[in-house]
Amino acid sequence: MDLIWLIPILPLIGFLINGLLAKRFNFSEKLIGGVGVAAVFLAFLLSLVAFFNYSSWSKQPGNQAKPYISKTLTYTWIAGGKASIPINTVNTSNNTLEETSKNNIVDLSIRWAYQIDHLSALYALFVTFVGLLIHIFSIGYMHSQGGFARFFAYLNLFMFMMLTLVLGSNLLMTFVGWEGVGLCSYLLIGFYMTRKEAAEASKKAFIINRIGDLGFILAIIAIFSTFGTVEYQEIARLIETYPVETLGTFGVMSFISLGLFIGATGKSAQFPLYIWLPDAMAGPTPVSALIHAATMVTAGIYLLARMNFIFERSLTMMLIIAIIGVLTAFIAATIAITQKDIKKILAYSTISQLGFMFLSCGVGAFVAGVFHVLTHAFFKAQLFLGAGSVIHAMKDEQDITKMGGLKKYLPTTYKTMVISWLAICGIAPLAGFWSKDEILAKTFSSTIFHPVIGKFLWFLAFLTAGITAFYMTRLMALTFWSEQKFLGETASDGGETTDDSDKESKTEQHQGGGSFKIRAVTAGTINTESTSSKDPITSDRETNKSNAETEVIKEQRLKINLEPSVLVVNPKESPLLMTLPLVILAFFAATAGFIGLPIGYNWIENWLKPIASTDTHLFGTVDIILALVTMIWSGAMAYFAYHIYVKKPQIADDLAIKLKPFYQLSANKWYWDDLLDVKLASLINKFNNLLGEVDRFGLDAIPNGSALITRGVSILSGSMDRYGLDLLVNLIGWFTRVASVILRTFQTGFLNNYALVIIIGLVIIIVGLEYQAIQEFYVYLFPATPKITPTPTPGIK
Amino acid sequence: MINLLNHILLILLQSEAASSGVKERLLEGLFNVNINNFLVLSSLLFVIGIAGVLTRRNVIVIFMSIELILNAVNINLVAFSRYWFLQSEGKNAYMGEIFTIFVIVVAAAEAVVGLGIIIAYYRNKETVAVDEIDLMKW
Amino acid sequence: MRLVGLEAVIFYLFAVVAILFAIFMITARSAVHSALFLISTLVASAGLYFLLQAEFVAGVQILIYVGGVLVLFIFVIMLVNIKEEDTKIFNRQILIASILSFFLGLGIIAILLQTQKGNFFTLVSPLPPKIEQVQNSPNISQSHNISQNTIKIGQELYTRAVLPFEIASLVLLVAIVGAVRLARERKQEKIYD
Repeated sequence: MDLIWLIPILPLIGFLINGLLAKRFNFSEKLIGGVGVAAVFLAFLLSLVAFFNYSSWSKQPGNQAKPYISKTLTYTWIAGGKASIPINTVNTSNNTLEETSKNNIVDLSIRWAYQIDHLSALYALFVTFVGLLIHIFSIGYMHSQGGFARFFAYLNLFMFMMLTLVLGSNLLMTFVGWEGVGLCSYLLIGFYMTRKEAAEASKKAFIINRIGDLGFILAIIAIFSTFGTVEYQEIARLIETYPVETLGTFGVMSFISLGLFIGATGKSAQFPLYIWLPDAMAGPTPVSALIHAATMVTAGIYLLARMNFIFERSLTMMLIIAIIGVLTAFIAATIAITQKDIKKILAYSTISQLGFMFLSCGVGAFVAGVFHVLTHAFFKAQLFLGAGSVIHAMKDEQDITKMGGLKKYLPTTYKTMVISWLAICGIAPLAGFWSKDEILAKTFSSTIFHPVIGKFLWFLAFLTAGITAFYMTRLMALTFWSEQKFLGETASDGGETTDDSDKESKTEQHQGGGSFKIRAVTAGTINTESTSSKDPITSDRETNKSNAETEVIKEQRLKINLEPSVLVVNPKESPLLMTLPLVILAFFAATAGFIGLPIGYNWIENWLKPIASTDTHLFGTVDIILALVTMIWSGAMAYFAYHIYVKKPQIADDLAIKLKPFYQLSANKWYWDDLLDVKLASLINKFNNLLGEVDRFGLDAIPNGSALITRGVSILSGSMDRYGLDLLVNLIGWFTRVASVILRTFQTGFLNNYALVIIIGLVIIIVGLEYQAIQEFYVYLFPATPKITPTPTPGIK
Repeated sequence: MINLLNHILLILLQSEAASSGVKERLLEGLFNVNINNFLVLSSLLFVIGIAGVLTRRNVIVIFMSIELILNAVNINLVAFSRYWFLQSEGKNAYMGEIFTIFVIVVAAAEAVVGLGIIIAYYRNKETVAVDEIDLMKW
Repeated sequence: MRLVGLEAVIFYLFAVVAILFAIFMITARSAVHSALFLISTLVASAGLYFLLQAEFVAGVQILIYVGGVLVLFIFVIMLVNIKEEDTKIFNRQILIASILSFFLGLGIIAILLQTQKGNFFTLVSPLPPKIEQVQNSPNISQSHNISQNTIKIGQELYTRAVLPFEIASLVLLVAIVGAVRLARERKQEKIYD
């Protein structure tokens, strides 16, 4: 178990290999992918082993609920000095903190250490597992796109940073990982750096995350100055003496919670700061799946669950978290209804689900939040990868209104996505049902605020659950079930596809013979797309060529008989490398819910008991009724969506016109982006203009009057200047010029001269410092001849 | 072996000139080489090396002078190493010599790179005279 | 530390040789002569190392400096093949440079003198040890241990000084690569660029 430090280090090694060596030595795609996947696979195996080892270790007497800190790679990272921190005591009479006169001397040293406990074991396990599957998927998805090595290097770096975030033993290490994943997110969103919107999206994500990070930093500083340490274990031990701050009060704990929450809001894309996540979909789809759906965005929940003892001590912040969470869930869900980009829908869906998790943490059910993180990671990663598969098949088309009828083209993708769709809608035995329903039940029965608040929050969440079912069904309907809205090549000229596959098989046979033959075979033919796949050197050129050729064909066809908006593609099921992760993720999306059954043995609650306290709420009939109601409501909404988008598509358009204000609100993302981007900026501009007007007509009269006087004076002083002061200035200039001529001569450019100057300096130093010695030496060399004192001549008597 | 010779010399001295006081006193002073003599020797070599760097035109000779300077430092280090060995009865006595080895290594590396630069420069400018290398001049 | 008797004679021999040949080196007309004089100086200082019972350093001095570095120097002299040797060997600042060097040397010696508080070069010093003392002194007893020095240095080098040792190997590697890069011919450069 002491090998847990290797879990983050392995992806780092992968990153170094792929990042430093791959381009220089022209690694093949297989090797790059192999290195990337192998690093994550080993990390996954290690976390699996660590998980089970820790499970047995923590059960030993004396180890109960303690994190295990790796001994290897543990060292003092930041060594500070001693500092004194006032000891607080709780005044029991009015339940407030009072500073005592005594000070606690603490050692401000922060160590770099990897620790594993119940929470981080779980997180490390699912992060490496989902990461592994997405790495495998990426091999297929990124095939023969530029920057293959760069992509895998970034992914591995991300895994390293995420695992550092999860496995770090103190807040500062988590912060390093936090910033690191932000960096990787930035790099990967802007992966297609030639596209303007990708570059802008990456900047947006980075800057908005910085706002959140500011809060996080403030929280860390506050924790440091309160407890004198940033180690999780120590904070958990020291917090015992602090009282719970009731609703409406705002003390130290609330301040810390606020900072941490702002950090989590930025990273997990909650209400005021969520705007970066939809734009982040400009990155490659596996990135969206890994970073912007499954792992990085759940870092906020990780932080909340990790510091739950602090949040529990501030009821004000708990309420704010719950409200922000449910608002985010609702707003994002309503926006998702009208979006057309398949990835944007999923992005808003992610925001909405994250809102659910925040709500869960806000009402004190941290375990339910983590549980939802887990199930959500599986089905959302699956949905994203499925979307990636669809986009791959549709040749980078992301608009779902141009798809439709893909069911028969992409059977595996379709089947697996159906499972995840049911899971996210919350249909009974699948994963999403258990976690989402647990959140709803916990919200409904929450007692930490006034019960009415709990009911209200539940109602909003309940509405959101229905809307979720609606927009997800819309996505599925427009993508898979409705009429085909693009033109398959099979439709236009039937023989071509068979030709295609024939050629492929032919060329595949030839590939053993080298690239030369392939080119010979495909030269002059049009469909060279998949032929040169195994040849890394020529592949770029070839695909470019073939792309250009297909463009030409497209244009020709468009001229003949098609409207410009209709696509011509020939969707094909993705290779096994891409469908395998889909299947595995779908399997877990179906079954992951069984670790948190409300009846019988609730494994996850037991497992996380040392981390977060769970309320004693018992499972009762109310919960069953609630679950049934929610499921029926979701099912009804799903059917409604199916009805209007598949059966009678014109209803949808009618509705859009009838409910125009709502439609506009949703389609324009509640005008929040506009408010930030345009309105706020123009408001500031207007205000500035107003100030300018006031300036010009009101205040300028005074300066104008004074200006006249000034001019008169200035003429006078100008003449004085010219003949008086300028002389001085000129003198200075002249002096500089003369001095430069003199100084310039020292810059001879000859080596010997420079050496001479050095030696002159040396001699001056010696003479200056050792003047005494030189004097003595002088005396030694030329001993002063004793002065012959003239002996007094004896007087002549 | 040196000590053996020393032995023989002492026997000779004692048998021959035991009585003559002047001779003995002279030998005493002259044949009493302590660390100061080494320091003076090394400082002289150092100054000669510096004079070479300052005065010569040929870059290769300047390099040789630098080697001479480093050698002077080496003599210093070894002398102190020996001195310390006798003063501290063998503790930490070899650090000076080890440092000498590192100085030799660095000197070798410096010579290699420096001579490489000279060859590259000569190929371009057909000269190794320092006063003709004046691109740094204003 | 005191060298007496024949050791002192040998010291003076080597010292005079070293200084004389060093002066010859910086005044020699031909660069080849300079190199040969430098070899003599270095060999003389190797002899001084022997005198100080630093056999390993002496061996290294001869092997690396005389065997390696100076051969390199001579090769380079051959390669660049200077022709204007007979015109001028010193530059314009020879006068000021020599005066400055002279005073620098005097200054250093003055500092040495002061640190010794006047006991420098004085003839007043204790008598050389008698035969019995010489026989019992550590110099005699260790005289057969020529390899002891090498063993000790080896031990120190691989225990306490192992990090600088490894760094030195890196320095040499960088020097090799740098030299290869610098000394490429134009044809080769064109190929690589």
